[in-house]
Amino acid sequence: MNKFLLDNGLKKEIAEEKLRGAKALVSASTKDGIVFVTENPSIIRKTTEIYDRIGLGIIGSVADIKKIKRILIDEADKKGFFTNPQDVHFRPLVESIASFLEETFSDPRVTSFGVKMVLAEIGSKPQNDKILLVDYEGGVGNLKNEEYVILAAKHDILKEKIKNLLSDNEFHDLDADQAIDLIKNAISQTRENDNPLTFEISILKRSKSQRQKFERLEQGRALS
Amino acid sequence: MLFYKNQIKAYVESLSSHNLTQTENSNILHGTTIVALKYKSGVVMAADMRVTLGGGGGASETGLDSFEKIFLIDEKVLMEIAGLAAIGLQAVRFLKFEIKHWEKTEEEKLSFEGKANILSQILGQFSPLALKGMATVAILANKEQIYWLDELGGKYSVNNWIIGSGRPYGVAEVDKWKKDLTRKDAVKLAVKALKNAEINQQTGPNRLIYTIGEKIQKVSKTELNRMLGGKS
Repeated sequence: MNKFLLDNGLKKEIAEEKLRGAKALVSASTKDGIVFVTENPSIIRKTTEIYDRIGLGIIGSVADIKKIKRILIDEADKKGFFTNPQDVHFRPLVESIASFLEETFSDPRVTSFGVKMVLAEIGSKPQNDKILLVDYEGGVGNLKNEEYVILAAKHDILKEKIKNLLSDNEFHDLDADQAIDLIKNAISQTRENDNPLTFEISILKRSKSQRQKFERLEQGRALS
Repeated sequence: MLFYKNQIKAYVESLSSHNLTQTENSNILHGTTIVALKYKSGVVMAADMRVTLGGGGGASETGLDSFEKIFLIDEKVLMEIAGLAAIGLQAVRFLKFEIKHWEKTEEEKLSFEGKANILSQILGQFSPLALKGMATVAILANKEQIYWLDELGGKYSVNNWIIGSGRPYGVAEVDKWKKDLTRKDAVKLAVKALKNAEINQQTGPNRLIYTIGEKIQKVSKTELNRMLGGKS
């Protein structure tokens, strides 16, 4: 018998420990598409394409990020190959990653994933965009489909800053560039020192012509 | 390493149970000529459009002379297929999906050489079929390089190539290839080769022609007529 069974309390602690120090990530639905903006001083990639219209923003431990990306991409690609790219849907993908995380979390023999993520699907107009949060326990958030979501340790402070900067506007009415500047600004206001921040920024473009909507706009550190 | 290896395996296994007779074997490759040639700043890819339904007959017998044998793999790469159409189409699909999967999981662009190696592995997986007479070959090109890939997955870098049942009739023309051809001369040469391959109805009269330069362009009928000076 395995002597080292982990109860949920301990697993939660492990997950939170892995998430400690994770940088903020904000995703918002704008006129031009869904943007992912995250502070990222490393070469690790926290935003990624899952399938054509579906993108992922994820924070947490590097190893776990890679595992989650792999699971999502593998599942979407297998489905797309078996049927057709337009048959890869958002909802089943979210449900399956949530149930996978829930299963892992409630299995006392394995350690927990230390990740939080936002999964998003671009629609024909901002009102049709879908943004959902999934946490390491398999909990799904933003079921009311608010136009933006925040993953951050200092969630409340960042939310306040974004609210102030938005004033009477809504993300739905902003261009992608305006929204990105606003989010960058808000994140910068929550930093502890004056060092300039580097960001990773990606977008799911609301374009009719190209099938793959995901585009990288900025990558924290120059890669070459 | 192929992500879709199990899918390829299942496909090959399901086809491997068939044993083609000698007559079927000899007929199955008939009806195709594909050509690829380098020119000064790019590559021409040309193909006839005939599909034969298991036999070596002409268009009247098959009724299909409008099959596109050149495929857009991505914005820089084209692929041509010859041999058993069903397997060629599968190879195209597997290649596209493998590339997409690789680029997403690695979050990097895949090199042209990398794409060619994936295709060589896919065709290698198909080799049990080739040995039973269900052979499929391919040409993969970007604007700088042409690879011809044989039915066992062999990959050869070439400057010019013609393959398919029309090869014996068109190869003399393709052998006239020289370095630094203009785009127009390269297209003319490819068309001449396809035309010669029509002998004995080895190849259909319809043609599909693309050039890969800064971007991929289809050579329209009007443009082709202009290049050939009114003759087609």
